[in-house]
Amino acid sequence: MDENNIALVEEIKNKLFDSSKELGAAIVNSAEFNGYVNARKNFVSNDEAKKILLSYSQMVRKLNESNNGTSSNNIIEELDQKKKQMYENSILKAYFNAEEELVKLFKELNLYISTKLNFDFASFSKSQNSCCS
Amino acid sequence: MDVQLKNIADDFVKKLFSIEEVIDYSDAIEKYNQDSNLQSKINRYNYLVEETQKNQKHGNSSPELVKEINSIAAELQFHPLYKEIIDKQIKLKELLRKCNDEISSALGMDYARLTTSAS
Repeated sequence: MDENNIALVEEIKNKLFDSSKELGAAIVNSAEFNGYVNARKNFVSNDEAKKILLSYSQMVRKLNESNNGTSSNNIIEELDQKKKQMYENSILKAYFNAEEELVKLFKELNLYISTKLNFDFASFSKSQNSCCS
Repeated sequence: MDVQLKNIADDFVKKLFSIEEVIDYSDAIEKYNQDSNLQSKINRYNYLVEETQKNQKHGNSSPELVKEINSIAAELQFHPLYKEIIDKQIKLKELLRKCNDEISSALGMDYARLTTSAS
């Protein structure tokens, strides 16, 4: 490949990366993204909501560490209780719903793009270090 | 999804189709799908897997079928058209990861990871 061609390929790729940035910016301007940002802001500034989520997360982690997911009925009941508590908290409920709506938009956009490309854009573009957490 | 986002997504797809990695991968897939000999082997493979599963459900073993499945699988794995797809896919994924980095950087979160997460 000569120098001109290399420069041309580089230019085409740069346009693609610019277009990727524009796509990101368009998502940021969406109602779903704004809803998520606001819900997260409310969550971060609410001590009670943070305490409830932390308590639930700690319990799940402890359970996973202690017995590989097997647990007594008492612990499961306690966990269910904490989960119920989370969804009774309006700030947390709004935060979870907003996150769900945002991910729904991500998936919808991915389906739209992938159908045109004939391969799954998100699966192909996922970093190898990304995992399931 | 609103019209503006769709238009920007359309432009993004259009730009992707002007990139060598995407064109090469699409061509490799097309060649793979159009090879009738290869496709008949894939059909035979799928049929055998289905039959073996049916047999297993009824408690029957089918060593001859399993032997043929393994033989076709090995043949497919080393088929030049399949290897070509894998090679092109590696290059394509490298490019797409950079696109995802740009999208994710604008969002402040990993777009591909969240999109592929179970909901």
